[in-house]
Amino acid sequence: MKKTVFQCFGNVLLFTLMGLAFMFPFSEVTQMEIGFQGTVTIFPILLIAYLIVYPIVHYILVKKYHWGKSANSELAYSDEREKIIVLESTKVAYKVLIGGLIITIAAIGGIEIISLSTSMDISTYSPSIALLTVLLDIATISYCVKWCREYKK
Amino acid sequence: METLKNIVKELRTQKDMSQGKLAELVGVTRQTIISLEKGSYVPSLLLAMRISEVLEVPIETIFIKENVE
Repeated sequence: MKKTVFQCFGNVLLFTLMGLAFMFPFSEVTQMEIGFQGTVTIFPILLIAYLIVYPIVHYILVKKYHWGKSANSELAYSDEREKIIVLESTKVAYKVLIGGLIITIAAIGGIEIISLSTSMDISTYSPSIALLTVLLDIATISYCVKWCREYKK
Repeated sequence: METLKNIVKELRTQKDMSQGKLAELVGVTRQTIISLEKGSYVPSLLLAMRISEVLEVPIETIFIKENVE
């Protein structure tokens, strides 16, 4: 269970950092004749740092807790019960993802309609990234919760 | 509702075998054996046959079909 929780937590962190890095990549942006000038925010730096640190931490934990695929431990893919657990968890995450995507598309469409009908210039970029980030996080958490509940049975 | 009761725990302890050892011999995780002994997991026919082979007891003796109201 530790491995699944760790991986899901890692993915949630990755999605959140990615979302923040794409939403707020630069500050003090100045439009120039060709291109732009701006200061890189902390989020892209944190994302790069995470992408370097995470594989190292993962490697250390794999070695420490013997998380190998062939090991007779958690997430041994040959184990029939775990296959069922993964199946059930994936089903839940899929439902959350599909439902969330429908809501996300509707929300983006709604923003666009409001923008057109009020003649206000509302950008859909940041809300889209935020909604997709939250959706990915919720789907991952749903997977993790279902996995842990089934595993404990 | 029908369910499958088993005496894996009794037979395993008779043989002085740990859950981990049985899990290794039948090719599943220890957690699966724990779940199976608790009765919350119904094994596949293949796993039931492997358990039967390892414990040297006929499959129908280990696994008993029961009606639960």
